[in-house]
Amino acid sequence: MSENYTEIVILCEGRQDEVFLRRFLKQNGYGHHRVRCRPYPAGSGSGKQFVQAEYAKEVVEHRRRATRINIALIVMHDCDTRTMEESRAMLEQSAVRHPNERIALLLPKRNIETWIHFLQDGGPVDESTPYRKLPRESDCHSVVDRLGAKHEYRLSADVPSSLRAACLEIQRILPKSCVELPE
Amino acid sequence: MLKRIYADNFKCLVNFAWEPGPGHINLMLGPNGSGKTTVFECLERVRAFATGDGKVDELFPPSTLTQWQDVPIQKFAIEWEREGEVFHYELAIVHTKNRVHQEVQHERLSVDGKPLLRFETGEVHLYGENTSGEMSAYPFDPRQSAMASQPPLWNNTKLTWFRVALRRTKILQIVPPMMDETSFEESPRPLGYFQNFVSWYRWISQDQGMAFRLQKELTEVLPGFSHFKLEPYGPEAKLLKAFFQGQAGRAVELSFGSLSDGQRMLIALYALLHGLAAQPEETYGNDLPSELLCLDEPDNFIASREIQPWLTAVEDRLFETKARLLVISHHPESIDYALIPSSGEAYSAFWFSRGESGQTRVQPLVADEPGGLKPSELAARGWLGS
Repeated sequence: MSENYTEIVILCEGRQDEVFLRRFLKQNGYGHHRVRCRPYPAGSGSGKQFVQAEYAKEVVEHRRRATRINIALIVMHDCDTRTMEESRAMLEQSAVRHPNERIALLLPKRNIETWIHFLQDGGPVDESTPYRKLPRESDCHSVVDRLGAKHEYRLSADVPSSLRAACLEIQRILPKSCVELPE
Repeated sequence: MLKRIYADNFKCLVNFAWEPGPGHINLMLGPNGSGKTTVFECLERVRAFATGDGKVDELFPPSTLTQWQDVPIQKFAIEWEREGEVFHYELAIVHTKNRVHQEVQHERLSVDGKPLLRFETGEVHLYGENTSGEMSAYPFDPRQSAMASQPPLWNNTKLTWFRVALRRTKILQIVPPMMDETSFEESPRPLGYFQNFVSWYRWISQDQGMAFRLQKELTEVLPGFSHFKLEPYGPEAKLLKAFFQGQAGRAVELSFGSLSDGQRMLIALYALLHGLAAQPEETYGNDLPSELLCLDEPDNFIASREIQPWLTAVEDRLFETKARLLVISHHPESIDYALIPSSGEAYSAFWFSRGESGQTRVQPLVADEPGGLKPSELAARGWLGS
């Protein structure tokens, strides 16, 4: 029997992020009813400001309730041209996470298209290159499935650093949900 | 896939044309009285006529004429796309001067401009699919659809395909208090308010895999839900019961009618999604047209917490089945979730309003530039679409 509350909140910049994360979570047993994505605003570029502005509020709400109910927060925030450390610091200016909190910061560098491109080809990617967007967001489903722990796919050693860090973040808050990372 | 709907002289629809967008989900927004539900009503009446579910006088009484004009002819058209082919169906109804009688002025079906059927002045003309010229002509009752009367044959596969596509169109304004908890027979077609939900559930649950998947999903949606059971209720009827896990692991059985309105609404909404792949009442080989589901305010009766999970379940299900959803909603959750920037794969949104002379008009809604208010706040102010 499931509890009737959202277990995982997604805070992200746009629809491609949401479709990517929802697919990953569904493949790992977190169906529609357990996940809520904060509706993000319209307009290109506004998603980034939205995540920065809402992050601290989400952390406050998470802390108010996490001792009583089983919840997690997943934040996806593109690095663009910044380093992961700079992006993390920018977010944590408003709220610093404790190491045992189920709050994951996923910081794709350069953005989600970089990860999708890597998962499609398996070869090395340049985390500073802006790769092309998919024609339809749901075109990412098949490659996202490769990240699931139950999938036979093995990530190549060229896994980009931001994806590797994100897998570790997810494994921390949702153990056994990602493929084994190559050494 | 429905490409275009046209109606003239049907209630507030005067020379009205609408082309739904490419999104799996088309959200229809607009103030009360702007004609959104009338578009569904129009589509349902044309569908019912063209598939033989009613005669012209039953489906197009004088009360369906536009009241502020005195025009005796109603015109309708539907365009439907099938892998590059476009079907064009036209229907014109003429009302006598005293409005006592109605009959078909013309009914036509063509594909890519090539006629398949023409019914005019009481005579049906049939055309070959792969040959040029007329195959046969015969007189026919002008109160009925000539298309609906055609038996499915090897030489009218396209006409049959289009009719099946119309049959697979479901138009619903679900009202849980009207749902009957008993059923006397299986019903492949949900009625307008889904009052026959249990009979329809009996039909779809013949596919046990589908019934299992639905019940499994409902265990996530309804806390404690376990399964459904159709129990005999008198010599012919069946009663739908829902089983829940009670205290100390004891099962609690509740008749469908004793569930809350919101619970019955949720069950109906998820059942509709799982029923998208159900066997149609009229079959057509392996090339089955995808379904068109039209829902009028499905977010009534259910908690805000349920809307986004259902919408995302819809997206997944439509993606798998290639079905389409046209949905009328006023709920801020639906509005804010649908009016987001995307490739347009998932959502298209339209704003319905009334023109100066009272007729319904429609325009596509696009996401505003960043920095403004939420779309739901704009809708609450009546600013959306302006």
